[in-house]
Amino acid sequence: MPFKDISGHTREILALKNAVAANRVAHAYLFSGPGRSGKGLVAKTFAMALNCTVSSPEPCGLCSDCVRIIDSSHPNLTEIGPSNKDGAPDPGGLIRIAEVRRLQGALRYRVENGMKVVIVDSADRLQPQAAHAFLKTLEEPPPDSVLILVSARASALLPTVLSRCQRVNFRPLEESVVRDFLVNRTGLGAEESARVAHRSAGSLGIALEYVESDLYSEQMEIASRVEALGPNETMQAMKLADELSKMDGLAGLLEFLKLRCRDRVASVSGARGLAVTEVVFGQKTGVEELVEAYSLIEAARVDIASPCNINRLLRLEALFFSLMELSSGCSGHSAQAAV
Amino acid sequence: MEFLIEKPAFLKTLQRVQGIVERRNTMPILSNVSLSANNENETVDFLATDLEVFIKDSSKAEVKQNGSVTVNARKLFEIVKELPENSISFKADQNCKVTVKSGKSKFNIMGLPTKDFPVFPVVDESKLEKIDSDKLKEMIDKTAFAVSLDETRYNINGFLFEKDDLITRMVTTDGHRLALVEEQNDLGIGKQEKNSVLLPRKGMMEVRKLLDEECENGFFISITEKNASMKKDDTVINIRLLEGEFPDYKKVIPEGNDREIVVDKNQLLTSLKRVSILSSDKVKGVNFKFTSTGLILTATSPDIGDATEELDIEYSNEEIEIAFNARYMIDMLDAIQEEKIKITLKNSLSPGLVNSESGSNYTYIVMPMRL
Repeated sequence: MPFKDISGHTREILALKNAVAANRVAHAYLFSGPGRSGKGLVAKTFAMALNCTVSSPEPCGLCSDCVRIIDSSHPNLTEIGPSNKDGAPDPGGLIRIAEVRRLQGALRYRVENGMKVVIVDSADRLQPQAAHAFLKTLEEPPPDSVLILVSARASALLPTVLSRCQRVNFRPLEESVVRDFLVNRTGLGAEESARVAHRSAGSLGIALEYVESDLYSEQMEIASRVEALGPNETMQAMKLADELSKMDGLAGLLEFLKLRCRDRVASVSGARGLAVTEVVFGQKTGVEELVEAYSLIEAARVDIASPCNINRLLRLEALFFSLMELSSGCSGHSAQAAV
Repeated sequence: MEFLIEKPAFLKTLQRVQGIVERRNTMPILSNVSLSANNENETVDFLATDLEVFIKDSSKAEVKQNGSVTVNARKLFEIVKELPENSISFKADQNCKVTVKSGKSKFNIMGLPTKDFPVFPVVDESKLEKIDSDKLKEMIDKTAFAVSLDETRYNINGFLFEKDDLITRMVTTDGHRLALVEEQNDLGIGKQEKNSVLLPRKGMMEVRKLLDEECENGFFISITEKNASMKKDDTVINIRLLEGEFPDYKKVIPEGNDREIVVDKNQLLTSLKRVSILSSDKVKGVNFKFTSTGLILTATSPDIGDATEELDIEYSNEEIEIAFNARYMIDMLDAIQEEKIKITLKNSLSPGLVNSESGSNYTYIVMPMRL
């Protein structure tokens, strides 16, 4: 897909196109920004721009080089991403040292035309050892190579990795961009599209998921139950933890809960046009508590994800007890007393 | 597509191309071989690649319907190998379902469409030059064993191929030893654009395999800045070149090694093989003591015991003692044909230099060990 067909991200794309046109392409980029908003697509199109023999800096998308990059069968393109222990792709997995070695192997060949491009998807999933093994290549890749790290959580990357990349910050897509995309692609009505776009936090991937399923209402329902947990409702908390620990989209749900916290902070501060919530309740809670809740949820998400893989049930129970403690406002003997 | 083919021809071509197929399954289609049938000249073209080495081959067949498909190379090879009859029918439908029939057996395998298969790089036929395949074979054999297998040092993971007006040169090293072979420029490689390229190990090993086979029209080679291609009859191998700077081998060749020893190659080889049995497991260190009366090889392993052997040599200088990794010596001795070799040394801590006694076209440098 040529740059012009990509929804949004005009500022970021312009910067990349200028780099190609001026022949000042950096050796390593870090594309950071909210998840599923099109960073990977931009990275791939950038690879096309560097390899397209027909037009530059806007790739044609039709020549054999472009087509093979789209199919990921171009010899100049190497893509790595998180995988499980058996090497099968798994978004919750890790990028292991073997993968880094593989890409180093691919980079040692000379190019026939264009430039070698490596796309490291979810670069924050690099195992520390793998990241260390990567540093030398990242700092000084072989000639004619461009490394693109894509991450929705750039803060989780090692500082040594961050300092070696030119950073391109992708902002959340504007609501109007998401709305127009939904109207054009899914045939959803304008009003409904606007509502979904509003809830999607600037991510096309999430917006599409909301269109295709009842995910939003499910997440809202669970979020309201979590937020409604009172100081002494230990049994409910444990039941909820048990239920959620068996759920498939737990990581997505925790993200959603975080966004809710963010929205509530924003609404307490008097903001309008919130990311995931139209109606905000529970304003009793102060900003500091909400920020604290956000951090607690994030900590739980990290613990549950690989490589920690902490027992989901226990971790969720712990999370809910801390949240209950927080909302009760006291320094919290109630939860422990109840246990 | 549909074609009828003889088993030996099918098997031979499949065997040749499947050696290249990707073993790690990063891209599923790379474990496939692409077959395309053409009824104009009654041939089936085979194509396999791991994106580093590309191989193309073709085989005569009775083509009933044009078309193309890709199927798992290893499975197809195994099937064809075990088929009962000589005549094989190969058929693929629109959905890439492949049916292989022979006698009373029938195999259905799922294929993938060829449109997703990598494209074979363009080979400029005008740059192909005929070369002396025996000489190339000898050059590869004399250097291949010293190629580094350490994937992290990619600049020495291959053969340095160098050519100037008079000499064609091949150099390999793994940091502990270096093998260099030179041929006067009658190999036939004249028009190549660049005179120094790095050829990856895997591709050269495929070329080496091909060199072993009989060929009717000679062997052709072209080396450009971008890739190297070899052509033999219908088979074409295309290799991507390695990036990076090969170490300056000229600086490594020791000077002032004034102690010259001439020794019978086969004697040294067999003695070394015997003695090294008792060298310690990790590094096969063997002690060489050169005296005017002979060479004494000793190996000691603290837990097991020791071994000594004496050999006749031609040496008249003062006594010198040096230790080498027996593996490095054996590899080299196995690869060369000469009856006598010349070892030149300086002292027990400087690199040793091995040449063939007759000519100087082969140079082998090996670092000593401290035992």
